[in-house]
Amino acid sequence: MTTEVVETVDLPEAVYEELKGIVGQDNISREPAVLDTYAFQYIAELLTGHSYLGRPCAVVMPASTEEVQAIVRLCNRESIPYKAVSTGWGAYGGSPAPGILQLDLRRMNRILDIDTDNMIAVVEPYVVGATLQAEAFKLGLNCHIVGAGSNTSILASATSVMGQGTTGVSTGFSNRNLLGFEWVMPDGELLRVGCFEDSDEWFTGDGPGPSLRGIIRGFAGAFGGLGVFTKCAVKLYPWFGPSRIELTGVTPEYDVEMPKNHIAYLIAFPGWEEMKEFGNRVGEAEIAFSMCHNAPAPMIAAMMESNMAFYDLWKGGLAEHFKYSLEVVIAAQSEDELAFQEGVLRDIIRRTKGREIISSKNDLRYYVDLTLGLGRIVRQAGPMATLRTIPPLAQFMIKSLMAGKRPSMFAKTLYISLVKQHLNARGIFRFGGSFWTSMGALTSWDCCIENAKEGEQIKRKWIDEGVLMDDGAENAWGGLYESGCYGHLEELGVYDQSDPICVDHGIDFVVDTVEATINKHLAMSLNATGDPFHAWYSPHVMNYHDHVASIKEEFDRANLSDASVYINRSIVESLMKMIEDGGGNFNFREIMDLANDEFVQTGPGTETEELAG
Amino acid sequence: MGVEGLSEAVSSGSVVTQKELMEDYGAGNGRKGALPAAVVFCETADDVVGLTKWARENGRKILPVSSAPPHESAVVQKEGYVVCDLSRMKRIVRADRRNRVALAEVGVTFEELDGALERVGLRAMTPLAPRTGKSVVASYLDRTPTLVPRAQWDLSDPLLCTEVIMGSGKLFRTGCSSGPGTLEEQWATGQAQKNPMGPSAFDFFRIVQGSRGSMGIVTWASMKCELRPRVHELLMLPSDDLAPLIRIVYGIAHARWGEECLILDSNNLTRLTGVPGMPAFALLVGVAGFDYRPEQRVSYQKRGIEGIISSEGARVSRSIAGVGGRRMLQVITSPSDPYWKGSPAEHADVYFLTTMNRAPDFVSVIDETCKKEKFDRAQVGLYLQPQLGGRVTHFEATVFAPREEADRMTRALAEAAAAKGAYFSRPAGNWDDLAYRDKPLLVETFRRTKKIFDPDGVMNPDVLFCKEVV
Ligand SMILES: Cc1cc2nc3c(=O)[nH]c(=O)nc-3n(C[C@H](O)[C@H](O)[C@H](O)COP(=O)(O)OP(=O)(O)OC[C@H]3O[C@@H](n4cnc5c(N)ncnc54)[C@H](O)[C@@H]3O)c2cc1C
Repeated sequence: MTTEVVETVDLPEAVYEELKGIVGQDNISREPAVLDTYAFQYIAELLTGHSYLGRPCAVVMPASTEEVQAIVRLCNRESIPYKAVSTGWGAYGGSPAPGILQLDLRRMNRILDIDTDNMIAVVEPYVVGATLQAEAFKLGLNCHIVGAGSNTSILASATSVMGQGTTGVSTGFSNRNLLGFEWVMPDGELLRVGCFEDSDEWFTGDGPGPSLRGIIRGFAGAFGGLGVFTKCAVKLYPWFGPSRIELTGVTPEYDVEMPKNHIAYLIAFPGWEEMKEFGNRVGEAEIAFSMCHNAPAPMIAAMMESNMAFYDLWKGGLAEHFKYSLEVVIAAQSEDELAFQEGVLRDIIRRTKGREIISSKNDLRYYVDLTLGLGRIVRQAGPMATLRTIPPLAQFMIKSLMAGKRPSMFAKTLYISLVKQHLNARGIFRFGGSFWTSMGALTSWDCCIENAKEGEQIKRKWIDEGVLMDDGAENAWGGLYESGCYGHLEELGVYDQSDPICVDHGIDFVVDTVEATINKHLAMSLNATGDPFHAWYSPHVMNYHDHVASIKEEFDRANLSDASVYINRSIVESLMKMIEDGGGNFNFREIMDLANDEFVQTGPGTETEELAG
Repeated sequence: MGVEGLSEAVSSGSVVTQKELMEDYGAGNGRKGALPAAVVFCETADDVVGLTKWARENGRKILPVSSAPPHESAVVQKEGYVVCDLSRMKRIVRADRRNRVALAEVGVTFEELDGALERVGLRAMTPLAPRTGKSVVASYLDRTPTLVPRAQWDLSDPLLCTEVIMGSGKLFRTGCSSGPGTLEEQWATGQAQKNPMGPSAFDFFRIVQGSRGSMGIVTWASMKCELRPRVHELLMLPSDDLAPLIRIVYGIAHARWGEECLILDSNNLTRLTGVPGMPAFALLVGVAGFDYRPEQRVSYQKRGIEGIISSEGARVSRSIAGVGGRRMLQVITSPSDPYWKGSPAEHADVYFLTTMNRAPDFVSVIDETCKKEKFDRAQVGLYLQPQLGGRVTHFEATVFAPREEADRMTRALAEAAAAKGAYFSRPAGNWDDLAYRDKPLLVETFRRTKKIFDPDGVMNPDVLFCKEVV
């Protein structure tokens, strides 16, 4: 393990005591070992060069809105920067600057209401996807869970982060699922946005008149940089499955009973164009519960019992040719609806030259399709790759069959991982240790595919340089949202965070992809948060940073709600100038380092007026 | 007040100052209000930018108007306003079948858009029988409810991306239309301005929407369109009682079936169709098949919906008061001329959001208030529109009476509904102040937000939260 010099910022004793008075002795800590668990973060090495973000000055665990409000007020009185986390799953829960007060909201873990008729849930911050989904299933409902996994906070995703998830075609996107919400504003004022004050209900967060949902987030949220959200309501969706999905086995070999009228497929296509056509048609036909793409490497990794087993299969070279594929789940509520959905899906598969490589249906037709599909993949891969892959594949198949597994088990594993959102996180960490993501604009499906194509090209270069792991280069993840109104395909790059070459250059792949989205007009990537990326994108995107910064300045005049992943005008604008002065020739790594240094030195806690002046 | 320099500020737009031509926009035709200092017919975004800069420099205020007269809420109330009339901005820039989206300027009306969409196999989401001349974008900007709850994923739908001129005079584009690249460059990579969110960490379109022009002026917008049905039927269910209809609406919403889904009372049904003798309430549910196995879709959904209906012991009617499903469908989805509610002088509305299960409480509120106010209940029409996939209901009461009387009643109804928890998400009329009553922090937050985008208060600054709150 690397040893890093960790800077400690002490909280004045009197303030610590006051905080203790608010949350109680058991719910506050300034033990360095405890604090470092908040600073030790995935991808920290790409941001700070080592495994830690800044060490907080203390951590508090409030149990109620009132306690959160008291803490935020105290922070304002004493000029202490603060940041909330709900589960703390991502690096953005911390700050590169040492000394923030970390609000860990894990004690606020209640589902406050599920309104079955109106399909609405009201949750506190630590309610995670798995919990809400389990309760919703009992009532014939489901919730949108992001690809990060069902271990992440529903509220954090709806109010503060992103929102991509594999069932988005039928369960939307977190931004769009947000209804009313309760907001401890950066200065400690408490605002309930939406209908609550009038009706004690949470069914909308819009109005009266304009919608304040527009200031708290866009496709990205403020990542803790705009106060603390303490409650929110989200849309639930009808669930045409059982009240509980019985799961047997251990990861990764889960087995489930496929619910009646649900079918899971993996469909392979000849190329990207057919995938475009298929996605557009499945979206508009409104037949899918889930439609998404997972690249072969993380899919296979997620399904194999060990990294070695994955590697043996992968190195042959055939597996990566499964890349032109999409996963589809249909979930009908009746037999005649299933007949319609299945019929339409077959029509679309036929028109787009798809082949069912995995299907939970397991009928003769499927086996014919599988044979034809495999034949096409073998032709695409060529004889050498096929021959190299046959021995490990045969070994794997024989072992699986002898263990009593049938091909339908893959379909079931696929099904459950899409419904419960546990494939991505498992697959992506398995074989490299860490990853970063890029591209992934929320845009029309056609352009999503263009993003995937471009991302693959760029990644190939960094794989060849030895910076990224060879996952076949094509490692796009994403799918459709809102019946295909828009989609996303992000390009994942897998690396070894213990390898200095990867750490030094991991960011370079992201840099190239951002550049491509700008120069080739592929829409704003999901990296478009945080000062360095704002500085790069904003001049190409109507100087949007000016408005986001104004919102931050207006509502957090003391600049205490840590904005390390949100926005700091002075940093963005000085970086913009650097980029402009460089005439397009600039080193983004330097820009990121500069942004971090500047942030640590000037903020949080530097009054916005002072900076602007 | 003079308008020196205004003509020069708007290069292609024309400036009108003749009193008789400006009466449509303010005091005139028996309406209260003031006359604008000028009406500027803008033709381009540059005109709007020019007008905004001029207004800032000259301390004037701007009222944007997009629809044809008669103007109802977009009416000048105070001195010192210049009207920005965008009704001549009529380009339908794109009707894109592949992406199920249209991009149109703000002056385009529902009837104009429909023609263009029909040619490519799409249809726009419409409000209930909008008046002819109504701007599509203005209607969506007002979050006017549309008829198909299943197609609405967010209360902001079907509005997607917008081009907006802020009060600061800055031109901005929202959602993924903001860039990188021009619209043409975006189209070249297969984009279609379909993601309304952002750019990045704010949704400016949400701030503009519902603001009645007080946050900025929109010149064009992209909007979600739906496939044009190949087969389209309307199931009609008359009932004396609201309760079973509500249960049926929930059943349909939970099944994600159906297209149009709304409840109208007898008064509204009669006004819409011109046919008397309508039932107390009727639930109208559209069922459609599109490009994929249309008949099969209609048949299984119809079977399912009829099953839900029969579980309430009810049956679908082929016609109500002699009006068949086909005609009813035509009436509710088509622009109406003359407008079914009559002129602004002949009616007034009060509307709010609630949930469907609470609708009977509000029907009682209407009954009781009419009694208390000694107003003929038969002159109030009710319209219940499930939205957001059935999670929220738009409750609308229209008082059909001469304006003064109608205003008195809508105020009384709004006060009574507010006491029962009505949420006035789209404040309007003479009850708009109720939405902000006892919410000083909310008002303050809206005002601070406006100040960011409209620092000098140029954009329609006498409406909504900008007004003095009692
Ligand atoms: C491996 C990995 C994969 C991911 N994949 C996806 C994905 O597919 N789709 C997606 O949308 N996101 C993804 N994310 C991002 C993120 O984890 C998710 O969006 C998640 O839903 C947020 O919940 P969380 O529990 O992780 O939030 P946390 O880690 O608790 O917080 C996330 C951010 O929100 C802020 N925040 C949290 N709670 C509050 C609050 N109550 N008030 C104010 N601010 C708050 C935090 O400060 C932090 O900046 C991924 C992250 C990781 C690490």
